[in-house]
Amino acid sequence: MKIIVFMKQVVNKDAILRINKEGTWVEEGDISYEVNESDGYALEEALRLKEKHGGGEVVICSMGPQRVKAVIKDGLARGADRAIHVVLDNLNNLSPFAAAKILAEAVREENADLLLTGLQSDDQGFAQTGVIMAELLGLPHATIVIEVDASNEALRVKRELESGWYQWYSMPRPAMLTIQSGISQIRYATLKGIMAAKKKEIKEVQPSSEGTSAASFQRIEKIYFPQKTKQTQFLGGGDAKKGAAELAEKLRAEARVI
Amino acid sequence: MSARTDAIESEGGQFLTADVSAEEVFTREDLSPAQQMFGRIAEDFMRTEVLPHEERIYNKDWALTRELLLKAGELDLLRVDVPEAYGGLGLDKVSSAYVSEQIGVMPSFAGSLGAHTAIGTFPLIYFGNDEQKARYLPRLASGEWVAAYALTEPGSGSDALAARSRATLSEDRKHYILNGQKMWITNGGFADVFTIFAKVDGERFTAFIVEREMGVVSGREEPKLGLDGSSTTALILENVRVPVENVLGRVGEGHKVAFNILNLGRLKLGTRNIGSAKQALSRAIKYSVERHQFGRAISEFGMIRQKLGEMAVRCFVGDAMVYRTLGDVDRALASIPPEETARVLKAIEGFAVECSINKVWTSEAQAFVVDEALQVYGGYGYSKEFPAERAYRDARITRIYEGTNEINRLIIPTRLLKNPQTAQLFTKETARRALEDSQDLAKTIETHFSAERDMLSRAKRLVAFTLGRARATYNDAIANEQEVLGHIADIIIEVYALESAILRTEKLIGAKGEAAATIPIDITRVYASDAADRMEHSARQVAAALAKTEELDHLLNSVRRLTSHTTYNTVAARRRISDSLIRAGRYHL
Ligand SMILES: Cc1cc2nc3c(=O)[nH]c(=O)nc-3n(C[C@H](O)[C@H](O)[C@H](O)COP(=O)(O)OP(=O)(O)OC[C@H]3O[C@@H](n4cnc5c(N)ncnc54)[C@H](O)[C@@H]3O)c2cc1C
Repeated sequence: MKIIVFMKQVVNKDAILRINKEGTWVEEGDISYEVNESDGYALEEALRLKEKHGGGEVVICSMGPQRVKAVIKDGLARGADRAIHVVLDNLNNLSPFAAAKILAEAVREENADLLLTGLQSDDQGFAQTGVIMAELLGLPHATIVIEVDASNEALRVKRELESGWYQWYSMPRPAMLTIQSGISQIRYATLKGIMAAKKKEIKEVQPSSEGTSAASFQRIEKIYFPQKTKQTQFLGGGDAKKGAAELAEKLRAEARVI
Repeated sequence: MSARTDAIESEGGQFLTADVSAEEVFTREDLSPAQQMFGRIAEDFMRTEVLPHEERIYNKDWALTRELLLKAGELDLLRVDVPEAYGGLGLDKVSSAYVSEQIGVMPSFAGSLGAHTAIGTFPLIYFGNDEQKARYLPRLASGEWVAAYALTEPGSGSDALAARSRATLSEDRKHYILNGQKMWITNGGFADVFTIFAKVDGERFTAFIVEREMGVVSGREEPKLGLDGSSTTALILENVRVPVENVLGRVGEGHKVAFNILNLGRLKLGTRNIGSAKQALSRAIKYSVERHQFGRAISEFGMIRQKLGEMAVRCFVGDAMVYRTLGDVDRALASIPPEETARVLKAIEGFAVECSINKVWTSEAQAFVVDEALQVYGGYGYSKEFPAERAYRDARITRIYEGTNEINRLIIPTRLLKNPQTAQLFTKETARRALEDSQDLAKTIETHFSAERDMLSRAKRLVAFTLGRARATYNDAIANEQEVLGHIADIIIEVYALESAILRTEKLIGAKGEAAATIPIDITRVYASDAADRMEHSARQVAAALAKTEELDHLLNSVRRLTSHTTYNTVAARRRISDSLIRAGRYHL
C-alpha cells in the first residue's frame, strides 16, 4: 500500500505573535515553527497502516519554503520512506483551492492507494484542502476520520460527528481521508531514525503554473488580534429569581458553559 | 600549521598562545539540522514524559525513574556515546552534550541519566575489553541495566587516590574480594552495574566492573540539600566477589580510569549547567512580566531588567565556551578511529585545561542565575510551590562534584606549568616581556571588536606576567601558593570566557550581519567590560602577594596598563538585552 501524507508547517503554538508592518501576516523573523498537529496524527496513522498491512510505502508531501524541510526530516525520522517537497516561498495567500491544485499535481503521478491530510491547519483552518484535492484527483473522501480499517478491499473509516455521534463509512480505494487530532499516541522520532533519515530521498518539485496562477484569486487584506471588550449587563431588573433564570439561560446559550 | 591541528597533540591551553579567528570555532549556531533534531527528541521527551512527573520523581519513585530511563533508551537517548559495534550510535561530543543540555531542564533526572550515560558508561566504553563491552554496553545502551560510578569514599573525596577499599585475590585466583565503603554514589539506590575503585592488596589502585548481584549493598538515601529526585547512597562492600575478568583496564592503573572519566564528565557537564540556567532565566522572564507591583510589571523596573540582562550574559557566554571546547574536541577526534580509545582519551585530555575552565565557569554562572532568578520571584521564590526554589537547591551540587571548583581551579595553572608546550610560556623572562608594550597579538585580525580584542590580547599578557612571575618567585613550592594560583586561574578563566564570547558573536555577525547580532554584541561588550575589572582585581592580588616592596608600584602600574579599558555603558546595554528577552518571552539566543 502506498500512502501519501500531506504535512504543513505552521507557526509554533507557543510563539509570541506580532503582526507585520503591512498588517497582512505575522512577523516571521524570530518565530519558530512546528508541524500542523492533525498532520502529525495523519502520519502516525499512515505508519501504523503500513506496519499492520505488511509494508508498502509512506510518502510525505509538504509545500513551502526551505524551512519546511524541518517537518519533512522529522517525518522521515519517524519512519516515512521518502518525501516530495513542493518549493514555494509564500503560502499565506493561497486559497484552499490553489493549495489543493498545486498539491494534487505534485502527487498525481504517484497513483497512491491512500492519501491522508490532517483535518485542518492550525494557522488558517480552512479544513478544505484535502476535500478539494480529492475532487481534483477524482477520488472519494471522508473527513474527520478517527479510525481506518484497511483490512478488506473496501476501506472502512470511522468519522466523528457532532455531540458524541460516530459514523462508520465504506468507500472504494484509492481514497482521501482527513484525519482528526488526538486519535492515537504519536510515536517519537528516535536518534537512529534521524540518522537513517539522512539517506532518504527528498524530491524537490516546482509548483505547477496552473496552481500558482490560481493563487492570485485571493489575498489577505488584513489580519488583527481578536478585540477584547468588556461589557456589564444587569439581569433581572432587581428581581433575583428572574436574574438567576436569565443568567442560566445566558450561560447555556451564549457562553455555552453549562 | 594552524592552531587547530596542533591541538590534536596538545595538552590544552592553546588559547593562551594563539589568536583564533571566528571561522575556526564551533558555536551553538553551527549545530547541524541532525544535531538539532537529536536535541529536539530529548526536549520533547523531557517535556512530555518527564516534567509532568516532577513530583513523583522528586519523591524518590525510583521505579518511575527506571521506567523513564528505559523510555529514554527506546528513543536512543542512552546510545549517543556508545560505539555502533555495541548497539550505540557513536555520535560526536557536540551531539552528546547538546542532548544533555535538553535533559538539564530537570536536574534530578539529568543527574540520574547523566550518571548512567557518562560516568557510568564511559569507563566501559574507554577502558573495557571486547568481552566486557559486549556483555555490558548493549544493556546499558537500552536502559535495561542502569550504571553508576563509585570513586568517592567517606575518607577520600578530592583526594580520590587515597581510597581505602581493598581488593584481594581469592585463593583460586578467580575472583577479587572487595571490602570497603563508597560514599555519595549517584544511582546508588538502584543501579545494576558499578565501576568501583579499590586497591589491590591495599596498594595498587584499580577499577572493577561490579554487578549488584556480586554482593553490593546500598546504604540509605542520603538526605540532601537538592537533587532530591536523584538517588545518592553509600555502597557497602563486604566480601564482594568480582571475577578477575571484570578488572577494568590494568591492575594498578585505576587512576587513569578515574582521571580520564572525570575529564570526560567535565567536557559534557557545561551544557547541562547552562541548560538549567537558561530554564531558570526563561521562567524568571515570564514571571517578571506577569507580576505587577506599584501598578507596573516588575519587568519594567531597572533593577529587575539589570538582573535579567546579566543572567542572559552568563547564559550566552557559557554556551560560547562549552560549544567551542566541544567543537575543538570533535575536530581533534575526527582523525582518530574511535576504537583506538587510548588515542581518543589522549586527545580529549589535551583539553583538560578548557574542561576545568568550563566546569568552574558554568557552575558558577548557573549559581548566579538560579540565585537571581529566585530574587526575581521575591517571596514566591522562597516558596516550595514555585520552581525557583528547587532550581536554586539543585544547582548547588555542580560546584562540588566532578572535582570541586577549588580542585579544578588548581588544575588550570598547574597543568599549564607542567606540560612542555605551554610551560615555556611562563618564565621569568616571558613575565618581563609581557609588560613591554611592543608586541600586540591582536592587530592582525580585523574585527568588530577591536577594543575588546585589544583588551583580550593584553589579558593574555597578563596571564604570562602573573603565572611567569609566580613561577619565578615560588619555583617548585608554587603548589603551596594556592591563593595566588586561584587568582591566576580566575584570570585564565576570564580570558577563555571573553575570547569565546567575542568569537561566537563575530561568527554570528559574519553569518547573519550586524543587525541580527545587536544583542550578542551588547552581551559581549558588557562581559568584556566587567571581565576587565575582575581580571584587574585578581592581578592586583597576585602582584601584591608576589612583589618586593620596592617594585610593587611598578607592578601595579603594569597591571593597570594591561587591564585598562574605557568603561562601556553596561546599564543601557543590559536594558537593551532585557528588553529583547521580554519581547521574546524567554531566553532566545
Ligand atoms: C549529590 C552528590 C552526588 C555525587 N555523586 C558521586 C558519584 O556518582 N560518584 C562518586 O564517586 N562521587 C560522587 N560524589 C562525590 C563528590 O564527587 C565529592 O563529594 C567531591 O569530589 C568532593 O569530595 P568530598 O566531599 O570528600 O570533599 P573534600 O575533598 O573533603 O573537600 C572539602 C573541601 O576542601 C576542599 N579541598 C579538598 N582538597 C583540597 C586541596 N587539595 N586544595 C584545596 N582545597 C581542597 C574542597 O574543594 C572542598 O571545598 C557525589 C557527591 C554528591 C554530593
